[in-house]
Amino acid sequence: MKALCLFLAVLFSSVCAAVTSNYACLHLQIAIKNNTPNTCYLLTEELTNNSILLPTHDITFKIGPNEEAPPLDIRAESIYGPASIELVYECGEGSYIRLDSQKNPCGNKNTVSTALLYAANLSATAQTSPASYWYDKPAKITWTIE
Amino acid sequence: MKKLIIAALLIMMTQAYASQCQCEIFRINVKNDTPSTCYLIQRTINSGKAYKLQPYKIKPGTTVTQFEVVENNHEQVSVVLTYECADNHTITLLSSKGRCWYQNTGKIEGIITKANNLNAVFSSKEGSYLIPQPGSILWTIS
Repeated sequence: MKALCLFLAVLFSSVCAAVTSNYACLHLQIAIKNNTPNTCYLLTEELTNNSILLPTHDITFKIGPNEEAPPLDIRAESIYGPASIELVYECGEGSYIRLDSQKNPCGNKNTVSTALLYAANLSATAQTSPASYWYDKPAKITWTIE
Repeated sequence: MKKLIIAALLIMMTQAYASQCQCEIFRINVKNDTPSTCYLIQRTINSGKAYKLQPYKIKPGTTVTQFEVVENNHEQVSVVLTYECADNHTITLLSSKGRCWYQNTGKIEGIITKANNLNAVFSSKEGSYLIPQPGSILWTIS
């Protein structure tokens, strides 16, 4: 019985710590590959669901042709909340794309969702990898703009 | 009479809080006086929290409020922005505002830290605690 109580206490404290800590499961890392012949420039960014952008892993504003920007890192406000961001890039005059990236709350369904909200003369595909609470792993999305 | 005094105190406290909030804001405006479109290509927020963002593309002859940055824990605000206005035309601008509090209006400074085929000048307006007003800087890139 004591062992069970101890186990539950440890489990509870680790979950509580994760709620407020910088636990990997709270994070969503997003990389952008530019497979167009033009330079892509960030036009707007919008953090949604009270997500927090880590200044040390800021968004890349300029991505050259055939370059991959280092991943930006956003964090959910708590273990119960999702993390999400919308990014609009321009890759050449009149060529725009609006990308929505979301990581759902840590838990059994560590799913990642992506949506191409708008595109003019461009397209994009996303490769995703879910976060894991138990393996201390952040969610990852790699967008390829073409 | 007591109620009136309490109400007056509450109003004064609310106004003081509102003044403080306005005074803590630093508005960074950028005007593009070049013949090309300028894009923000890098930002570093040394201190402060950016809470209002505008498109990072500035067409020739237009002015945008690029950021509104608010003081964090009553500390000074400092932001570095790099713009590109055509190939090999870049400029890096440092904008800062001191803490705004009562008679201290929060000194505003602007420094060009790096320039490549571009120039910039700035004008600024300090914030006010007494007349609720944010501080602002206007950079003109040419």
